[in-house]
Amino acid sequence: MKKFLNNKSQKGITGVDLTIAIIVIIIFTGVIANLLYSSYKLSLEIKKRAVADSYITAVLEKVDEKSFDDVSNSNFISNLKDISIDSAYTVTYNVSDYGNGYNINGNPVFKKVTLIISYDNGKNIITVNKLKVREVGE
Amino acid sequence: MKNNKGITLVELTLYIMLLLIVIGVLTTINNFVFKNMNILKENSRYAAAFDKFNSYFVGDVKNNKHVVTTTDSSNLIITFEDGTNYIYDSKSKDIYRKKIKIATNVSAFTISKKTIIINNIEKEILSVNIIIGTSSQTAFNQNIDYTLKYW
Repeated sequence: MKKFLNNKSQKGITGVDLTIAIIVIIIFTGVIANLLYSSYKLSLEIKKRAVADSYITAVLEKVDEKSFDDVSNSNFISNLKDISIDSAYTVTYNVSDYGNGYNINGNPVFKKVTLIISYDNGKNIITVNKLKVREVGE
Repeated sequence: MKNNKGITLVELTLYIMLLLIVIGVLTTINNFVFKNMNILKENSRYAAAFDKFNSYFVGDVKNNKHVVTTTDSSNLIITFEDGTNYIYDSKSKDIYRKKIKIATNVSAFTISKKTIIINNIEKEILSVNIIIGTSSQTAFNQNIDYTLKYW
């Protein structure tokens, strides 16, 4: 017991010990902070991607809602006004003919809609294609 | 072992001051991190819940021409013609698809149905408003008009 209660021990901590301890604490903090930052970034990316996915769904649903002739480069953009899109996202699209000019009574039957959504100042870009088909009687 | 050199009072004071500064910085970082940790968790959880709901719902919408919406005491029930149903329980704030929970923390889920005729083609539109989460900082709020199968 006496051995453990030796109050007269002159052993203490030196400046070097303290410096090493502080360096270890700083390194440890740095690693933890880095992990948390990565987690934060990932979480934010998941949310941004989910928002982008919802815009993709909303716009492509409009492609289904509108008639074959209404889906074009010239007037489709005005139809998208009822979708509120955050200013951090840029939505562009292009409607092109598809099916090598295949037509019925001179009317084209297929169109390809290419939707491009970019966010994070253009760092992330999602491109989606959808085929629009003229229905019988349309 | 016979070296009795230790640290002076000035050195000790300096070390303590340095330690206090380090502890202060650590505490600030710690508070910031834990304050935001819940927001982070909620953000990704709500986004994932919306993605899950949306992917199932789009699939069902494109497989069915008609849908019926009904409400009972606290539930909103959406039944597609192939029998697939969605139940929003406003008490538990959950959405179930075929009795399997697909979204939680849904603070609002409203649906309205309309039929439009475009160039002789009849189309059923389901307008869905979904809010996942309660805090305005983290809630996921989306309005989407889904077009049911019309071909």
